[in-house]
Amino acid sequence: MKNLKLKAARAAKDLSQEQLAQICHVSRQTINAIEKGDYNPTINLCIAICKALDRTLDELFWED
Amino acid sequence: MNSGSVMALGIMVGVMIGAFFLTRKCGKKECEYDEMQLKIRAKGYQIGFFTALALLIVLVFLYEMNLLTVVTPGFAAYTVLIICVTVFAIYCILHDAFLSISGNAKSYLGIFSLVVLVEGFVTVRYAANGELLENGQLTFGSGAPALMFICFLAILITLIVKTVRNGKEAEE
Repeated sequence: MKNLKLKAARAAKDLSQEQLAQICHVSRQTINAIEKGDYNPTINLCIAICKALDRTLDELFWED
Repeated sequence: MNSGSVMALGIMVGVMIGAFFLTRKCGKKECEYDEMQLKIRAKGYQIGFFTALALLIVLVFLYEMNLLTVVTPGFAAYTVLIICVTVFAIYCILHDAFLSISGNAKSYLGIFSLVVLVEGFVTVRYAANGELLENGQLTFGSGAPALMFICFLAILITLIVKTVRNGKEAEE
């Protein structure tokens, strides 16, 4: 399932996939795979993404 | 020392020099893979290993049945090894785990293009001189350049296609 919340939060911060990837020390393709729902990140990477986007884990990764 | 041994020695020295410079250049940051890439690479090693296993079983069967007479056993084993490495490389390239986080595709494209050109030239020269087969068999000395040419060409084409596709994806 696509992670549109992550994509929207990244866009709100005006960050490209490449920029977010650099902040989180991962490749752009990994960010792309997470947004497309092709890869389930570890909790460490989730936290790094949340810190980079100033969001909580719930806001970005919790699905109802 | 015959020409085959000299060539094998040359290849080994070349690989050692290449590995030396690669490991020197490959600092901690430059060779860092992220968690998704490490997972994919682990899967790639597994696929490479099982490819080797399957090919070796086929190879043993073919030799036992006397069906493989045009290739020496040594070269056949070498072929299996190179095919495994190629399978691993292509799998990693297709799944974005070949280049490290800060890896640059251009340098790899340059190196692979050079290898393809050199091996292609040597293969054509062997073929033109009628030296591709020795006593009706493909040996390590004569067959290695052709094998390397085919495998590196496959890796190069995959890398080019993937780089172009990634470039378009990044623009979007």
